[in-house]
Order: sequence, then C-alpha cells, then structure tokens
Amino acid sequence: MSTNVVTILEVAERAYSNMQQEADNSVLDAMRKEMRQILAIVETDAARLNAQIVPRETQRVAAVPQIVRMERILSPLSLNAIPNEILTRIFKLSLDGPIYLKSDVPCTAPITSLAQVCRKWNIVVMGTPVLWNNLSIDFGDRGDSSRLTLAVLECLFRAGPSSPLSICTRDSIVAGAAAHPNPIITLVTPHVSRLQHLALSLPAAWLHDFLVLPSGLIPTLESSDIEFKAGGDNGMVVLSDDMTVFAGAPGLHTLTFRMQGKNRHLHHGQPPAPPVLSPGAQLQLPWTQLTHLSFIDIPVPYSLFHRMIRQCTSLVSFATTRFGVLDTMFLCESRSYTLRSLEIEFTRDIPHNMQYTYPLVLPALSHLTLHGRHISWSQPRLSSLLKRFSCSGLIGFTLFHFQLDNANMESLLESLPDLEIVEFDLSSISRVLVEKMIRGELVPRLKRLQCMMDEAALEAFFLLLEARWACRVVDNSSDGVAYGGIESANIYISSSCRSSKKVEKTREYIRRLGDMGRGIEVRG
Amino acid sequence: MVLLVTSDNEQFTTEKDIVERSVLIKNMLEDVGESDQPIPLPNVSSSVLKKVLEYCEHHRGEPLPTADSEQSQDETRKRTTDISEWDQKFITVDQEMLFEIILAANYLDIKSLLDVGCKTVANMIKGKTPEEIRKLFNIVNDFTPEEEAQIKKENEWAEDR
Repeated sequence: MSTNVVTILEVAERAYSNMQQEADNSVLDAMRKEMRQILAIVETDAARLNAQIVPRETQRVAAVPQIVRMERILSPLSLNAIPNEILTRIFKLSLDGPIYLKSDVPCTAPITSLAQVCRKWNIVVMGTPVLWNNLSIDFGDRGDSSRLTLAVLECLFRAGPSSPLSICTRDSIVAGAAAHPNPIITLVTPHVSRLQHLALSLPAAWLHDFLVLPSGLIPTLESSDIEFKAGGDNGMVVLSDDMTVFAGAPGLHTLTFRMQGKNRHLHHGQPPAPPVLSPGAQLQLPWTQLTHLSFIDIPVPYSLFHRMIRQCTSLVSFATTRFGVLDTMFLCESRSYTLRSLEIEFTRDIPHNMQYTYPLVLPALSHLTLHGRHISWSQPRLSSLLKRFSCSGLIGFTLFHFQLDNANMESLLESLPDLEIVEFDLSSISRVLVEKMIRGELVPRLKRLQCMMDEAALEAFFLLLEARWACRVVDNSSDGVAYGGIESANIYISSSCRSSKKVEKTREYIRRLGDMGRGIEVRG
Repeated sequence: MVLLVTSDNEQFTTEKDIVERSVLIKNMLEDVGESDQPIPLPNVSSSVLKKVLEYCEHHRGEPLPTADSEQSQDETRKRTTDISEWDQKFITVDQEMLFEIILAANYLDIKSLLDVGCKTVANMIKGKTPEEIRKLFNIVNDFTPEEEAQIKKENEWAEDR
C-alpha cells in the first residue's frame, strides 16, 4: 500500500514541478519535505494497524464455530423442539434396519447411543417399542451365549409385551446341533404370539422343533423365511405332515423355504442329499391366503407343485428352483388366474422339465424367471412353453445360467413384444443383441436391462448415455421426459473389456446424469 | 391461483396444483370450494414457506404417497436414507431452517418433504457417539451423574467388551 502512495506522490510531484517551473525552489523543497514527513507518519500508522489486525483476524476466524454454536443455542428452534413422533421417525431412519446381536463379537447397538444423549431422547427411545422389535440374532460359535441371551432379552423387554416382533436368526454351527440347547425354543418360542416377520437360518433339527409347534400360536405372523442349514441334521425330513405351526396363522401371506449350501453344486459321483421335503407330504399351510410362496433349492415333487398352483387361489408369486420326482401325472390343467411372477429351474432332463410344466396355464403371468443350468435351449421349445402358459402380457423376462444362440434368442425376444424388463444373469448374450436392445431395435419398450457387456457393447451404451446427456442439455430438462428408454440397468463389464478408462468415463456420465441416471450401475 | 398468508403476514400467490402437495391445504381448498379468501398459515413463516413452495414446485405432478405405501414401506423395513440429488441440494440449509422445514412439512402434511427432512437428520445422526450427537445438535447432557451411570449400566450388554 505504501509503495503505491509513494508512486502517486512522485507522479504528483513531477506534475507539480512542471507546472511550477518558475516558482521559488526553496518553497518547493519545504513542501516536499513536509509531504515526506506526513507520508512517513501514515506508513508507520498503517504498519502498526496491520500488526494489530492480523492477530484479531486470526481470533475472529477461530471464534466462528463458537459463534455458530452460540447462535444455535440461543436459537428458539433446536432438534429437541421437534415433536416426539417426528423424533421417533428420525430415530427409525437412523437405525435403518434390525438390531444386530452376535455372540462371538461385541454387541454394538446404535440404538443405545441414542438413549444416552439426553433425558428426552432416553424417554423417546425407551418408550418406543417399535425401535426395539426388529432383531437379527447371530448365534455364531456361541462362545458367550449368556451375553447374547441377555442382549436379546433386554431388547425384547424394551419392545414391550405387545409390540409385533421381527426376528431373524443365524447360526454358524453346522454339526451336532441336536446336542446343544435349541435357542429357538429358549429365546423365540416364548414370544411367538407377537411375531410379525420371522427369518430362521438354522440347523434342521432346531427348525423342526419350531415347525411342529401347535397351530394357532402365531396369529400375527405375516411373513416367514425358513432356511435349513446344511449338515447336522442327518438328512432328516423336516417339511412333512407334522409341520403345524403355520396352519393357524391367519395373517401369513409370504412363505419361503430354502436349503442352504446343500444340493447346489454336487460333484460327480456324490450322492444327492436326502430331501428335507417328504415326497408324499400333506403340508399343513394356509394355502388360500398365501400370496408369495417359494421353495429355493428344495426339490418339490410334481404332485405338490401342481397342488400348490391349484390350491393357492391368491398366489401372486411362486418360485420353485428345483423340480422333484414325477410322483404322479395329471392330464388336466393347473390354472392360476392370480399368478404374476413365476421362477423355475430346469434340469438337464428336458422331457422331465416339459412334463412338469406342461399342465401350467398362467394367463396373468407378467414376469418369468428361468434358471437354465447352462443347458442349451431351442427357441421353439421355449416359445411353445410360453405359449402353453397363455401368458400374452409378459413384461419381465429373467434368465439365469441360460444358453441360447443368437438367432434363437432374437426371435424369442421378438415374440415377446411387451417386454420392459430383460435380465441376463450369468447367461450368454451376444454383443449384437445387446446393441440392438440399447438402440431400441429389439425390445422397444425396454426399461430395465441387466447383462454382461464387452467393449463394443459398452461403447454403444456409452453413446446412448451421451445422447441422453445431450437431450438433457438441449431441452434443459431435468425430469427425464426428454428421454424415453432404459431407466435402470445393471451392466457387468466382461473380462475382455480392457478399457477401464471407458468404464470410468461411463460411470462419470451416469453420475452427471444425476437423478436421471439413477438405477444405472456399471460393474467390473 | 391460491393466496397464502404466513405467520409474519406475508402473502404468497401460487398455483393450486403446486400447493396441493400439502394435504392440509388440499383439504382446506376442498372444504371452502371456489373462493378468493386467503388461507392463513399461522405456523409457517415467510422464509420457510418460500422454501416449501420451492420444493412443491419442483415435485409438482409427482404422485402423492398414499397411506398404504407408507405402511408397506414400514412393514418391509425398507428404511432407506437415500435422498435424490435435487432434494439433497434443496435441504442443504442451516440447522434452524432444516428443523423449520421439518415442522412446516409436518404441519402442512407434506409426507415426502417430511421424509427428506427426517432422512437428512437421520444421516447426520448415523454412526455417531452420544457425545458427538450432543455436540452436533447442541443438546445439553441433562442426566445427573447417577442417572448417567445407571443408563450406562443398563446398556452394558451393548457395549464393547
């Protein structure tokens, strides 16, 4: 600053000298001297003030957070002014799932942090059963089962005596379960009358004790997922006539039985594991009220499969990923007017598959998921299957482990004009077909695509995103109206795709699309 | 057009389909029928209503969440705290304004806006210790030392060994 002042004064001085060439030099010298003295004083003052300002500024910057904090304290509105019902809603969202309780690692429940903030929060947390009624219990190696039991009981106590419960259990013990005290009987059974959602992943021996509980004990149960853990059960048949617990569950609408680990990937020569489902079982289930029923990796005999389709008059989705034995044969149709989603798995025995599915008539079917076990299928065979189903309005088609050659796949997709969802999971599909779908030449109504892409297909997808971005820029549209096409996608990049930069660039485009790019994921 | 009057007596004229994202105002309009009478909003200040209307205008035309969808979301425990990009930018305000928006959304019965506000606060809380939460929201630890010791004891089962 002082340099500028000096320059200005020098310029002024020269101008003054030119104007006053005739003036007395001694007068001018005196004026110059006086001006220099004034300037020196000003410069000294400026330096002194600067020296004072710098530490004060540092103090001010340091005090800003404190000022903000004080302003918040003095503010009439703070988080604790929010009504309790909204605070509860916030707590629910912040917990975002069940309370995880494990025996072999420290139990850390975020909900207890909320309870320790202040009196108001403590009252809200302790007085809101719904925050405590969703438990995920992992028995682990049961190294400290007393601690886990205490934790479960604490939560159940805080959930109150009447709040509906959601319980999910897991156990890593795979052998000798029968020798241990059954935690279902000790921890869950006393509270079954309050169960709303139940997911058990335990050895069959323990599950059996639960499944044979008398009918009518679980009046509030709405959904259940029972997973039989491999090993430790000696191949016992668990799903049989004595399964009574679900029979008297008037609210049960979603039921899944699944086998974990066993039967999935058998080595050659290895005998298949004994079934957990009795071949001639007359299962006691509330058939007419079930809307979602699944048997995952549990072979379902032919007669039971068709009985379920016929008896479940409210069924919306049905999954049977393993066909069982052809224990009888129907010549009449198995018709469902309600079934919208079907998931089945075909074996290598194609005539067996066809016999199994032959009686199905599913006019309401909108989503079909086929597991193919890497079998090569012909398009006429699949088309005839779909034709027999009478499902003219199919909008979703998912193929797992399915092999179809290009021409067959194209004609199959062409035969399904209403398709909006196409998912190829671990199924081969050529780049040409992927590009045709991306360009809208095949499956014109496509909204969701899941498939593997090589570099060329990715390039086409990349161009599509560019076009989509351009639409947005030109129309200044942020609501997605400018583009009507794929709305969500899972793109898996094949190993032959070497251009990681391109993948990154695609991800960058998707990020820039903001809300419009939501649902599109690219994975390596 | 609908005329709204805030607690600080400021008037806002806005389109019906924008303001009808508020169930409270929608019901009021249905009750009074065609009328030029202003709608008083004694619990909402002008600065907050301005923000609320900005939100409603951006989301105009979107389907309103039904009671069934709310219930089903709760039942299936899909308590996701994802917030869309625009909503995130919109809700990036100081804490006082954030709480004002939450209160206004609750009063005006705008479920989606209430959800955005609650999710924002929930995300701020997630993963924090009690002390960090107190510091963030300037909450006074009003437990007596005896109470604090008792609460810690009650929660020992959930502490690290």
